[in-house]
Amino acid sequence: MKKCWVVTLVGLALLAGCTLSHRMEHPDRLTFAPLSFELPKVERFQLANGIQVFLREDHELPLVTMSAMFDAGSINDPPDKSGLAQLHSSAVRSAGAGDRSADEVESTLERIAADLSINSESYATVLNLSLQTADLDEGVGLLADMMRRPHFDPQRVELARRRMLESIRREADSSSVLAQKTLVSALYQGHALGVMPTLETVKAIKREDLENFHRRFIRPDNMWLAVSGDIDRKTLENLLGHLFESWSGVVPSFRQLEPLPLAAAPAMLLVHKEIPQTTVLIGQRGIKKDDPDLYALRVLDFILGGGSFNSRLMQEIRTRRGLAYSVYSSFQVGRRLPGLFVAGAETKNATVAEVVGLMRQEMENMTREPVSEDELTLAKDSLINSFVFAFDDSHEIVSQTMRLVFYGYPEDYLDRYRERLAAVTAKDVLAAARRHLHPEAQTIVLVGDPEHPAELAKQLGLPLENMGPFNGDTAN
Amino acid sequence: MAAIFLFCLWTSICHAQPLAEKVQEHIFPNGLRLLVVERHNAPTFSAYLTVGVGSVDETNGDRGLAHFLEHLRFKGTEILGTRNFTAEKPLLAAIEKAGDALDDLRRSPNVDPKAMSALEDRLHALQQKHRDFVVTDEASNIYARHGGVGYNAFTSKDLTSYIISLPSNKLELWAAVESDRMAHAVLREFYTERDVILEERRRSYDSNPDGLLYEQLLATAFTVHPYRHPIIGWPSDIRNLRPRQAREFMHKYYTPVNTVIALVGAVDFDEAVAMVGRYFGHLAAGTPVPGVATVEPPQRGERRVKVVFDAQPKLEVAFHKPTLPSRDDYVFDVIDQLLGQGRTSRLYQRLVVEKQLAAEVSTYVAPGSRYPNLFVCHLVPRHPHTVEEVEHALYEELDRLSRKPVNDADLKRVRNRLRVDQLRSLKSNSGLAGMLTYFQTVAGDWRYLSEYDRQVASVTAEDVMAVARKYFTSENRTVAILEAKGQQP
Repeated sequence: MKKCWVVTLVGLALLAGCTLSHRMEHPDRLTFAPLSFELPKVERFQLANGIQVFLREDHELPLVTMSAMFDAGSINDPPDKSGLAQLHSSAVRSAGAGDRSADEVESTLERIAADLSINSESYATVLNLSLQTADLDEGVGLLADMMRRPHFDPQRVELARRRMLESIRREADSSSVLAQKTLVSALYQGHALGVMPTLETVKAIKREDLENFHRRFIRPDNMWLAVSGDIDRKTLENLLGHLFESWSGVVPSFRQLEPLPLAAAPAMLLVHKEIPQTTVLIGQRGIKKDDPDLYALRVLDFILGGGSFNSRLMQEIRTRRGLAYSVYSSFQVGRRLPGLFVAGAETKNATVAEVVGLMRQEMENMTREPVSEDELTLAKDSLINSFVFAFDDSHEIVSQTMRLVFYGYPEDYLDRYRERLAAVTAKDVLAAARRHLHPEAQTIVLVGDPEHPAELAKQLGLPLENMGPFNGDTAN
Repeated sequence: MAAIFLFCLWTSICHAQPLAEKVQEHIFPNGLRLLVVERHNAPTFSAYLTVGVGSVDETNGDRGLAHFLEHLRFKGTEILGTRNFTAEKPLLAAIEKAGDALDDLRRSPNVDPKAMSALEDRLHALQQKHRDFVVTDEASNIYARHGGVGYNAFTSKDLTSYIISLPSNKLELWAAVESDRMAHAVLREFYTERDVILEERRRSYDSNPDGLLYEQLLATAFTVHPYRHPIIGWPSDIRNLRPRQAREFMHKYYTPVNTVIALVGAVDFDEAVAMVGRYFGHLAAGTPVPGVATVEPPQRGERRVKVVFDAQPKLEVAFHKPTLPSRDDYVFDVIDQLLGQGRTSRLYQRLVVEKQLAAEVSTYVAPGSRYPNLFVCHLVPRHPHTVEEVEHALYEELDRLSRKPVNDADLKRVRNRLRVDQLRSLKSNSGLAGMLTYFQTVAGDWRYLSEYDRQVASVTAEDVMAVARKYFTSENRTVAILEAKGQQP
C-alpha cells in the first residue's frame, strides 16, 4: 500500500506541473538519457564428438528453446532430385525415430506440448525445438533419436512426398511465390541455386537417397546447437553427454562450392494471370557477406527501399502517388555465394509501366547522385540505434551467435557492427551503388495481366519472354 | 485516480499464475487504461496502443473507414508532417472541396467528361502544391532515427492497434508522438491514400484466392451483423469515403475512454504512469463506442457459396458459435485443439494421414471476438481428390465428436497444450503487449488470460460432445468452395 501512495503523489505533482502547457512541442526538442548497453554474453563449448554448443541462460519462464544447424543445404540436391534436402527434413520429423513409430513420435511431442520443426535452407538444415524445462529429457531424447536413428518409414516418406507435391501444384495460386521462383530461377540459371523442386524431381527421390543424405550430413562434427532458457550449463552438458556422447561422425569429405556461371542476359519475364493487379519483381545478382561494400550497401538499402516509409521507393511510389501498397528493395547478403538484389511492388495492371519506370528511376538516381546528408544520418541512426533489438530475445541472441559462427563471420562482427556503419559516407554509398546496382542489367518479372507489356519491354530494351500460364502439372 | 497492483491474485490450488503476478494497471480519470509488465532483461520496450474501434463499428455509408483511418493517422499532426500548418490548412480545405466535388460528379448519372477532367486537373494541381508543405512520414522518420522497430498499426473487426518497439530511454518520445496523434491528427494526403488502399485491396482480396474465399465465407455466413463486411471495405465503399466522415469518426472514438495502452519491457511502472499521465492525462475522455445492436438471427439451413478463380480448389466450412466469455467458447477452444491443431489432431490424422484426401487441414475462430463468431474448418484437398470427398470426410469426424466422448488422455493433452502455448506467448514483449490490449478490449478485462487455464481445466468430455451436437449441424453450416476456373460443370 505504501507504494500506491508514492505513485499517486508523483502522478498528481506531474499533472499539476503541466496543466498550463498542453501545447505540443516538436518531439525533436526532447532530450534522452544515454542508453547503456553491452553485447550479451553467450557461453560456448564443444563436445568431444564435435558438436558446437552455444548457451544463453534465461530463467524467467520454465521453457527451453533449442536450434540446431547442420551444414546440409538444398544446394547439394542433384538437379534431377531437386527437393531432396526438403523432403529429408520433413521425413526426419515425421517418419519415426528410435524406439518410436511415426505415430508415437507425434503423440510424445504432443503430450509434452513441444513444438518441433525441421526445415532446409540453401546452405543448412535447421531444427527448432521448444519445450518445458520439466520435459527436457524426453524432448531432447526424441531429438537425439531423430538425428541418430531415423526410421524413414516408407509409408510416411510417401505421405511427406505427396504433401510436398501438392504444395508445388499450388504454387501458382500465389502471385508472390510464382514471381519469386521465376526470378530466382532466372538469376541463378545454370546453378543449383536456380533449380527449383518440380513434381518430376520430387517424384524421383528414393528412400535410399534420404538415408544417404542423412549419413552424409547429419553427423555430430557437422552440427551446431544453440540453447536458451531455463537450463544451466551443467544440466545441459550432462543431458547432451548422455544423449550424444557415443554418436560419432565420419570426417566430412571436402566439398567445393560450385561457383556461379555468368549471369544470363537480362529479360522481361511475363507470367500471365487473369487478375487485376500485377506483381513486379526486379532483380540481379548481388553480394556475399565478405564484400567490402557490405556496410555501405546496408545504408543504401535503407535509403532506397529497405527503410519502409522512410525509403525513396515507398515515398515516391506509395506515399506521393498511391500506386502501390507495398514496395521495397534489398540486397540479400549471400552467405557463401553471391545473394540477390531484389526490388518489388504490386500495382494495378494499368500502372505497371509507370511503377517499373519509377523503380528504375530511383535505382538510377542512387548511381548518379550522392544521397543527402539527412538521408544518410537517418539511415545510419536507425540502423545503429535499433541494433539493440538484435538482442531483446534470449534465443535470438544465442541463435544469432551460432549462425555467425556457422557461416564464418569475422569474430568482431557484432562488436564492430555499429562503428562500421557509422563510418559510411555519402561517397561510399555512391561508390557501392555504382559497383553493385546495375538497373540496365536487371531482369524483370511480371505476374498478372499488365497493360502493354511488349511496349514496356521495348522501351527498357529487354527481350520479352512469355512464360505462359503456369500449371502445376506441366512437369508431368 | 486508481492505482491497482496485482500480485498473485489467485492463491491458486495448482500452480502460480505467471501473468497475474506481472501485470500492473492504472486507470486515468479520462478513462485511459495503462497496463505495464516490467521486464528488464534487455534495454527495450514494446508499446501497444489499442483503440476499441474496428470495422464492426461502421455502418452503411462509412464501411472501410476504421481501416482507412488507421492509414491516415500516420500522416502527421499539426506539428508533425508539416512545414507550416497555418499556411497548409486552407490548402487542405481546398483539396477536400475539389475531392468532394469530384466524388459527387463520379456518382452522378450523366457525367460530363470535360467537367470531370477539369476537376481532376484541379485536384491534381492542388495536391502538387500541397507537397511543398508535407514532411513525408515524419513520425516514422523520428521513430527510426531513435532506433524504433516495428512501427505499424493494424485494424481488425473489433479494434485498431498502433505499435512500436523502442530502446528503453525513449519512453517520452513514444508518449509525445502518440498523445499528439490522439489529440491532433491531421488527415492529409487523403485521396492518394485512398488509392493505396485500393491497391491493398487488390493485393489481399481481388488478386488473392484465399482472401476472396474468406471474404465470401463471411458475407454468406452473416446476413445482417456487420461481421459480414470485409475490414478493408468493398471497392465501391472505399472509393466513396470522404474526409469529413473520417474526421468525425476519429474525433468521436479515437479517444482515451476507448483506449488501452500496454507497455512491456524495460519500463518502470511509476515512471510510466507519470509519463502517460503527463502526455495523455489532460485529453478529453471522448465518446464510448456504443457497440453493435444488430444480432445475427439464427441460421435456418445450410448456405453454400462458390468462388471461381484461377487457382486449385479449397474448402472452408463455418459454424456459428457464441463468443467469449461464454462457457461454450472455452469448449470450442478445446474442440479447436482436438480437431485441427497439430499432427495428432483428428482431422489431420483422418484426412491427411489415414485417408490422404487432404494435404492441409486447420481450424480457427473468426472473424472477431466482441460478438458471436464462427468456428471454421479450412481444408486443402490433395490432387486428385475433390472438395466433395474432403467435405464428406470432415462431416464424419464432426459427427464422431458429437457421438463418442473424448478420452481423458486427449483432454489432458489439450489442456496442457493450451497452458504451455500461453506460457510461450509471454516470451516476446510485443506479443505480450498485444495480448493484454486485445483481451482488455474484446473481453473487457485482460484477466481473462489469467483465468483461462482454470476455465479450460474444467471442460469435460460431456461438454465437448454437447457443444459438438449443438453447433455442428447442417442448419448452422456455411460452406465456401474455391473452384478452379474452367472446371465448373
